[in-house]
Amino acid sequence: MISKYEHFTASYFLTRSLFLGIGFSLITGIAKQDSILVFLIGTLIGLFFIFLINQIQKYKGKKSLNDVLKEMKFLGIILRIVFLIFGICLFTESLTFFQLFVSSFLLTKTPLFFISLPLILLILKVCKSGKQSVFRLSGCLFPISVLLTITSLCFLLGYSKFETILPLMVTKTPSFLKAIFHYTALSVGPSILLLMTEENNTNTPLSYLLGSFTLIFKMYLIIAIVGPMLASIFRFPEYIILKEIKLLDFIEKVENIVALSWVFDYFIYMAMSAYFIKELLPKKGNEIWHFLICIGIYILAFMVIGKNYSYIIFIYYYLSLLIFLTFVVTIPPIFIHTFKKRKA
Amino acid sequence: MKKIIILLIGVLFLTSGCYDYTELNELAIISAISIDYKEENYEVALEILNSKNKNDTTEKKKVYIAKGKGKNISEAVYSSSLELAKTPYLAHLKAVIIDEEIACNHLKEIVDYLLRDNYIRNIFYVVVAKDEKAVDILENSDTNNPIVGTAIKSLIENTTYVNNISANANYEKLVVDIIEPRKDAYVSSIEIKNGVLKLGPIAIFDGYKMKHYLTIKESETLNLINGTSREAYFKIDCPGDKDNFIALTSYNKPKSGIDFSKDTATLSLKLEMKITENHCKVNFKDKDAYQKLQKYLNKEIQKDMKNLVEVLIQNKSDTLKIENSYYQKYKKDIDFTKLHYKYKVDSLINRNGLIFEVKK
Repeated sequence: MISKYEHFTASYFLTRSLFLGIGFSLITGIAKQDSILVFLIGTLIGLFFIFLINQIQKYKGKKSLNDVLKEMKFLGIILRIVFLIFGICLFTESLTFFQLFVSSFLLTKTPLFFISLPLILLILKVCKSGKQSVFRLSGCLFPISVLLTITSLCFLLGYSKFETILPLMVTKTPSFLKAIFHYTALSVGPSILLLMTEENNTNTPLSYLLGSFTLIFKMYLIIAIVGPMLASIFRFPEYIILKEIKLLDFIEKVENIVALSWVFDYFIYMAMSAYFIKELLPKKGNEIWHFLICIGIYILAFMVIGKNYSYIIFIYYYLSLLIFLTFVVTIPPIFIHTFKKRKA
Repeated sequence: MKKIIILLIGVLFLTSGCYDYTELNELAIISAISIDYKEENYEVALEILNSKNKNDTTEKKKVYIAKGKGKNISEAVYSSSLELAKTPYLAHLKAVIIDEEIACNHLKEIVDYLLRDNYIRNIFYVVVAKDEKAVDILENSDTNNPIVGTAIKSLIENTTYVNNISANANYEKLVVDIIEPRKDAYVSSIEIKNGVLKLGPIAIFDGYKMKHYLTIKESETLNLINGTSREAYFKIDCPGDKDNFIALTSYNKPKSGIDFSKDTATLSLKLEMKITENHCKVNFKDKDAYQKLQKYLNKEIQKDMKNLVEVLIQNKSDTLKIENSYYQKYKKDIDFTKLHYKYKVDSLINRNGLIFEVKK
């Protein structure tokens, strides 16, 4: 049984998960100082989609995603395939970008396969222990993540200059809309993974708002500290600003500790996407298929994608589109189906 | 089998950071870098902290220098690292000293190189070696300043008086001012006077190119208008008596602002002052005397501001960020050199030390 709190924390982590390495740098590159407005408007739009996911949770009640897909017969098979591809893509992305982050700042000489090996083993272990372990882990990491986030926000506030974010509304409309699209897709997309739970007493919109609030605050700090131009050229602006933190003039270089909150986001997101894949695989040979897929993704991440920057750039620009297409194809039919079943 | 797997996982967790593990005494901790440009070559010198074993009782210099040369900056740094039997480590970098040729024509290459490095923390200072080779500044360590990187950092961050003429902005802020289209950067300069390192006047930039050195007075005024000066120092002639003077210092950060009306920019400044030295015949028990002095001081500061703005216009260096302020207010671009300027100074002398006046 997954508690309401654990569900809440998982949703919080998923909202933030695609912003390290993708969200912040992509959106500042497009919308410059209007990124804060983009985040605000994107949150409001995203709330509608999150509400849809939350309603599906309520309508399907104690049924699992598997049960719903089985009820949908042929359409269910297609949706299962789409979800499976989606899960694989998210898991591949998470592993690749985690490797990229760690190899850029923390372990610059360590081979990629070695960076993600402990992680993939841990994720396999968590997935083997069941859905509850994934959510319990999320519940345990949540207080630490929130504490680290609040710490970094408080320490950085002193370095920010409000006037740097002005003037607002200077981005051209197409770019502004494009940035909103990216924000909405990246913040809402991972929440699709929450459909695998069988809880109907969830409050995903509230945790989405909390996650978005931390993102908006962080975005403000990025623009207000390094300015829109410099923020748009950095690969990880959210990490770069952490280097500024200096406590009482003698505690420095705490960026790696504070950045742990991003690592937690990624870890929960990885575990959730790995379990999502497991949930959708046929019952027969489930364990072995899941193991093979995870190992396959691990090899793909360090041998192919991690070693070829053009693939990383491709994911960077097109992940939002993939999320959008998956959302459009899967969520409306499932919503209609669960709504009808609920009435019946 | 299960135990072996658990052990394997444990080992992986504990050792996955070992690939990047380096002993402290195997690191060449770089505290400062000097970069010169000569005959189409970059000449780089690295100031490296000399690690000392606690059992080693011999007198050693605190730093040593490694030099290299190359057609581009990365080649020069690579060449200098060939002299090292240690791994170059830039996380503790405190200062980058560039010569005037680099400042005028090759800063872009340096900025790109330093921004890309994984380990560099962008909180060091960039300074221009005034009338010297950058390497000469780096090699000018003495008993007072055994580590040049630390000495430069201290000179810039010193909060009493010196802050008047130093550009107290780290590398990150410098790059922001360079790449933002409506701002221009300024950095401190370092010179050698009588064999000692000394903070020089501010060097102003137009984009990536250094344009001009301000005078000491202009540097002070620039910091005053930008609101970074903590204890600005003024020496003014006595009203109606040019042979004597009065010295004053501001004791709070000045409040400055820019207002626009049509094609006119009004630079305003509000200062709180204290008297530090008096040689004028002024009765400080009379409140009118303060007002008279304030009026006189306001006029003097207005003159300094006017002079500074003229120099900035001449060099097309918007270090006061006037274009940016205009853009923030009206969302329109303007050429700051084509604006008319008005100056508004409001100084308030409200401290005169522990005495009113010396009876003569």
